Amino acid sequence: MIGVGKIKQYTNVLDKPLSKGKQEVSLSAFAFLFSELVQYNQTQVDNIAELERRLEDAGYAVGARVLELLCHREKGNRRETRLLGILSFVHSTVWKVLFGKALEIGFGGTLVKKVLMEVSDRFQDMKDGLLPDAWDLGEPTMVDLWSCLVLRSAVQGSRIESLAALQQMNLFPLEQIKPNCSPVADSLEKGTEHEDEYMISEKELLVNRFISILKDMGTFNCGAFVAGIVRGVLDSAGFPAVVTAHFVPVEGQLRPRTTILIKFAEEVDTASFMSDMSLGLNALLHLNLHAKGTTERSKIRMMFTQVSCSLSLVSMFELVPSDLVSISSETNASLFIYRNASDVAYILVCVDDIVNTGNHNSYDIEHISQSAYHVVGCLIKDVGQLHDFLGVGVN
Amino acid sequence: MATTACFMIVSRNDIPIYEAEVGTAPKKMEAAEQVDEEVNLPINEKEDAAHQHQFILHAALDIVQDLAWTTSAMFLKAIDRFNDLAVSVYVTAGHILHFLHTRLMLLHDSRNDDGIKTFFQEVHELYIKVLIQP
Repeated sequence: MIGVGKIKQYTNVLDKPLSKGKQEVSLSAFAFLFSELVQYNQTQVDNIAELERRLEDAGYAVGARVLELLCHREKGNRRETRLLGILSFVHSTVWKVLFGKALEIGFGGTLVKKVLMEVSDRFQDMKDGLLPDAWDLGEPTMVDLWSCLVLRSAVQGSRIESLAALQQMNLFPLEQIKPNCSPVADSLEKGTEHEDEYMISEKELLVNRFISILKDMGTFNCGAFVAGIVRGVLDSAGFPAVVTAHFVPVEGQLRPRTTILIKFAEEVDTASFMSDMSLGLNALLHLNLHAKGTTERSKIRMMFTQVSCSLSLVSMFELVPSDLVSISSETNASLFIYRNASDVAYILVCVDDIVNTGNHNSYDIEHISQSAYHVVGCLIKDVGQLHDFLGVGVN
Repeated sequence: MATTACFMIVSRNDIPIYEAEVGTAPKKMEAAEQVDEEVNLPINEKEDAAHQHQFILHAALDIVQDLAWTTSAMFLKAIDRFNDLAVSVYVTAGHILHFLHTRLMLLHDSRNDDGIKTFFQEVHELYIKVLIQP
């Protein structure tokens, strides 16, 4: 009953190990299988919409299982609890395992969000176990990581002037930065019209490679299968969404690109990105206020410098337009963040000091002092450029 | 240390998928269908305990569902207590909840925490293997 060969046959499916096994599957076998799947469904339905829906349902089952399996294999049993986390899980891990290639991250706001999310992730880890005075500043801190990642994104997008400016400050060892020079062909983007829409676009989906669509089928796209996979992953993780696949014609290319459009349901909190960033900034303040000793302070000084240039870099990217958001930490410091499409301003109110930073002077100090006068009843004096704050030097 | 612990797997829509008694004095194991909410209860003097287990499970469900969003870890230990039973839960990526009710005295022992965690991880692997099969 057991075949002769190198592969050990397991009689019980529960005994088989969950390891990766063979990484490669025959492409032609997959193409045949998929075409058979489509043809079978074609015979069962009357119209195109129904066919798409059936393909999506098939993909949904795959997605639910893929989520469990990949979380176990790749992520070492850590779940995703945030929107950006699950999105980057989909468009990096899932895509890499299923289709054998990694999607490039689109330059711009999405990368910043990913960076900030990673940062707050690490901060969350540290916050659970470590108190600020137990924080070992010798190891690469959150801000080093943050700055390096932001810088790497700047280089990827050919913002060389930023890199040169920072080189002069001699803050980052350049070996840490590995610019990825391949063109951004596939990406994860955020829709501009609606808050809750995201798009994964790819030059050609694997499932579409060997399928030709008849003209009278209209806008039918076999990418509905992949859309179903994505929907399965998101749904099982607790982020219900409507996912569809579309062809997007691109000039200069014969075949149109495929875009997977993800529209989240109303109960999903799509505005949580802001809290991640403020979490990171508050962490930094927290650390600063608890610093003891001169060596720690000098390191914090460096961190602050990095943060301030990171902030200016952050402001160059397009952030989500939003109203004034206020987050207060436990130490009487309140961080106010104001953004619109191109400007950003950070206002930090700490007991009797206000620190203002941003990329434009549009939200300038007069406005703040006026509102402060109305609120507090006293005048604010503008002391000009900030040189030190709470005992920490700032460049 | 004759203890029994009740183990349950609950799916995303609060439907129990699997139920078992584990421990040194095991009773018969039962597996419930995914859509079938009626579970045959053992008819002996421990019947009240079985009722209690389901009741405790329902009470713990709400707690877990809030707690699951606050942390990205999978193993949440000792989230609830009822008399002398303690509930620990393991949440998988797809929000499938694995519950374990144990006697309280076990939990003072940190070794048992690891034991429970290992148990959950093994069950998780088995669950994934069963899930992948068509």
